[in-house]
Amino acid sequence: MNDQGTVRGNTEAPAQASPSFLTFIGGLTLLAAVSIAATAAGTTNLQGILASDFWSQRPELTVPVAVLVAVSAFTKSAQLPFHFWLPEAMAAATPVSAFLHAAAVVKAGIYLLLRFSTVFHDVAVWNGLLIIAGMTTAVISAAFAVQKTDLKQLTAYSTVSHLGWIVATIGVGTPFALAAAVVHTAAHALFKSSLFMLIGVIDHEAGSRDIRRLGRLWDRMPFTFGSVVIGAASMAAVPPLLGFLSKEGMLTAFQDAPYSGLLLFVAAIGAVLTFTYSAKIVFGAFIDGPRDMSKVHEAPVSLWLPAALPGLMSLPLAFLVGLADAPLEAVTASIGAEHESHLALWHGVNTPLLISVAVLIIGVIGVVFRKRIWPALEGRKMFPSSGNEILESGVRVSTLFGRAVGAMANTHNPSRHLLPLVLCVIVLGGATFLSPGVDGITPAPRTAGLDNPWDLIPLVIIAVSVVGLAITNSRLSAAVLIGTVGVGMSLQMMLLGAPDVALTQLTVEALTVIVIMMVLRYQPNLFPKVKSGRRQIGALIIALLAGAVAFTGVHALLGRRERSELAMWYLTEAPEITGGQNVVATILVEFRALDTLGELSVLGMAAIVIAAVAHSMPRHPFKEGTRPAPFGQSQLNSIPMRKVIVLVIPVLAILSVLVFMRGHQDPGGGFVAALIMGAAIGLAYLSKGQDGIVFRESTPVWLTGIGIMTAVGAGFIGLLEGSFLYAIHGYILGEHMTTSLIFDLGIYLAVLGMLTMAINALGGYLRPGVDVNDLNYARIDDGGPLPATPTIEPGDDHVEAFPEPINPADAPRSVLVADAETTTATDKETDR
Amino acid sequence: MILALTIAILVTGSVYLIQQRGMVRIVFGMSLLGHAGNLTLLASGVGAWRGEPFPDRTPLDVAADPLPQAFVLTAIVIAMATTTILLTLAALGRDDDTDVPEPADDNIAADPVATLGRAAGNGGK
Repeated sequence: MNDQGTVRGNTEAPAQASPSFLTFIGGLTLLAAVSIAATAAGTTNLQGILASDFWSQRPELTVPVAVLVAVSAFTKSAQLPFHFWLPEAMAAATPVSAFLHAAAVVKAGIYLLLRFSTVFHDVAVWNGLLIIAGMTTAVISAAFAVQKTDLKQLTAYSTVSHLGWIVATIGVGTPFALAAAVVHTAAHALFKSSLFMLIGVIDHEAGSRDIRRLGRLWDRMPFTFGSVVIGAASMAAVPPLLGFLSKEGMLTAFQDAPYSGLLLFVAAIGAVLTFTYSAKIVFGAFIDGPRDMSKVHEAPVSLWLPAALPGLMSLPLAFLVGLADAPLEAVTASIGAEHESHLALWHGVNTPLLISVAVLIIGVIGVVFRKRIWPALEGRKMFPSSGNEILESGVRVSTLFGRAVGAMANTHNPSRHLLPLVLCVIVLGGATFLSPGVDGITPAPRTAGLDNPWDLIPLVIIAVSVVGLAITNSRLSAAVLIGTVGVGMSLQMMLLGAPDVALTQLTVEALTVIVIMMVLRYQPNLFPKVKSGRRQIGALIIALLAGAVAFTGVHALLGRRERSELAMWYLTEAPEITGGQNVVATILVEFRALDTLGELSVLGMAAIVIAAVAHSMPRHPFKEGTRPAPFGQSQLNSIPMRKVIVLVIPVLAILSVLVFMRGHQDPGGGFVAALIMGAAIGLAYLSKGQDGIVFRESTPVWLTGIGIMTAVGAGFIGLLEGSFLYAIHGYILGEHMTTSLIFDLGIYLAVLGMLTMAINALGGYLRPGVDVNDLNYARIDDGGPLPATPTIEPGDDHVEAFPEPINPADAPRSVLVADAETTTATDKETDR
Repeated sequence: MILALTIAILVTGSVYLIQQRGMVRIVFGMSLLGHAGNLTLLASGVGAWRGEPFPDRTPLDVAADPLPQAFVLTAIVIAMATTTILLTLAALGRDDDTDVPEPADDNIAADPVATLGRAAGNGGK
């Protein structure tokens, strides 16, 4: 339709919005209306909705739905103040789709209004809204049309005006009015589609459709001229054409409306304007224009005749209109209005006829003096700002608002991404205080016996650690303190009667410390300092507020009920069903196994993310002081550890298997077992004399993949017996076995995969990442058109990647030289 | 009451830490937030019943609600995975400072490893 949807590179340019988006607003209001109606009626069938009795039983719903439907129809059928999208959409040359446009698209709103007249025709708000909006649109758009010199724009505004007529007629709501609206819809479709396409014919032959650039054409294009005259006359309601008949019908219908005198007067003004712009098409296009048109010739019949045909039909149809009585009655009956139709050209002398005659006389006088009246009107602004300007400023304002909202996250600093979320929670917590209770509801009384004095021990451990974490500038202290928080957490979990959770927390803490240390050794000893005191104070205030909200939230909302029905069900039924006494473990691998499968996928994704990040980033050089040269005795120093793990790792491996197997009956299970095995792998890593990976590079990927596939496979085995992940129980050699053990094995492998991936990615001597030359997207002087990948220039504070080991003793050197060389070689190999 | 206090301490520490400089500190802050969330979940099982949920050795009238425990167990392992990812990100650059200087030119970063973003700032120091 138009090209205004193109993306603009320069964001400072004035915002251009496609006016067509107004019709989407109509779509939303329609959705709201239909949702309300369908919910109230209990069906989505339109006939069912219209026949439903809730319209009379719940009048408080009827008016809002009526207004919403009316607004939707106004946007679709281009009524004020949504009128301007239609002429805007007609900026281009006439396509044959003009036919569709004039006859169908804009009538969608009309159809909607007719359809809902079944229930709304006697709702006063509906009547008033439609009549006022429709008649205002009819008059003002007709005035706009008179002002135009572009024939197509003129016709477009005239379409808006006629839609206004139809909307106002529907608004009257009587059966006769509905019939008149249907007749005018058909009449308008005929003459308007014809006029649109005939203007296209003129444009094609004369090279312009602007009145100021056309000349005397009527004798050059006589057939086109004749067809336009008939179409325009039908539009101007000149008898004996269909347009006259339908306009008479509408005027008659207006007599039944409230304030009919005023309405008829306004309608008469609209009719005069209609006559004027209809005449303007004829005189402007064919008679008055200044240009020499002697070289223009008539269009071929195949071009003008199909275009003229609908308009020409206005003449014979006006006499055959009696044939339409029966279909018309069927149409009005389907709306629910009983009506006996008597369409005819002559109804005797009555008010509408007198109005028509007066309009014709005034119109003709206006045409006679056209050379003085029309140019005075052209291009004059009737309102201080056009609809488009208002729309544009609206779009500008919302763009500014969007920028302001986006600015909150427009940063690389993670703190500023996190802060708005925290502030939202604080505001939410504060807002709760505005009403008594919680959201106006008084909470249930607190359950007795919530507090256990032993809880004070983890409280103290956690409080001391957290305060230390906040104060310390040393990374190493922080790493230790985050570990002690974890220990406090494990203790608290133990006190809450959650041994599995506590065990998992404790092992996770041990492994996380290894990962933290692997990262910290690349970094300076101290955290970067926040220099601004104000920022620190602000951070403290926000932190305290967040803490206060957390305290009141937890204190006010939790611990005010009995154990849930679900909890009791698990406690009483689960051992029966699963044959396992560890209810938590059976929930994880049997009852809610699908959740656990999702969690495994998260672990798998974490492994992939770590691998992807570490292998797609160029390796960054070290900063001075962040990476001391390797200590020369490292191989010797690691000997005790290497001796110990020979004994410890088998013990841990056996322990891991035991914990895995007992998971169904006692604390343990796949998670804990995998974490114990992970601890063994971590020990193996720590015991090495040099940095290096624990497993082959591809092993973590295999572990993760096989783990997830094993878990999914266990799920498919469940299909044999019922559903995905259903646990099948049985006895092998007298020992209770279940397929959930296979699922648990999947968990085990996936956890190990994630852990080993972390150690492999982070555990090398160098920082994570790859040498620029090994990046699969690197462009190193390959002569291609794209610029080469920038290489990282080590600064003045650069430290060699492979410094010589510091070697305090002389004698062991002979042993170490060979070692150091192999170290360098393997490191290069393995870090890739 | 005591549990709520523990949770509040964890949240306070977390919110303070995530407003500091340095990715590692922010990761630690997120860990504390994870702890606070896990403890809140466990507390939703009502701390008045604290028996281990093993029906063969704990009388039913003191057994704890097993469902939040299952949730928290899952959450701990996922938190471990996310923490590891965040730590990997912290380890990639020259250091983990989150108050990076803004590039003078939007198209040329001072640091070739830095990700370019339009008009991205760091806020006040």
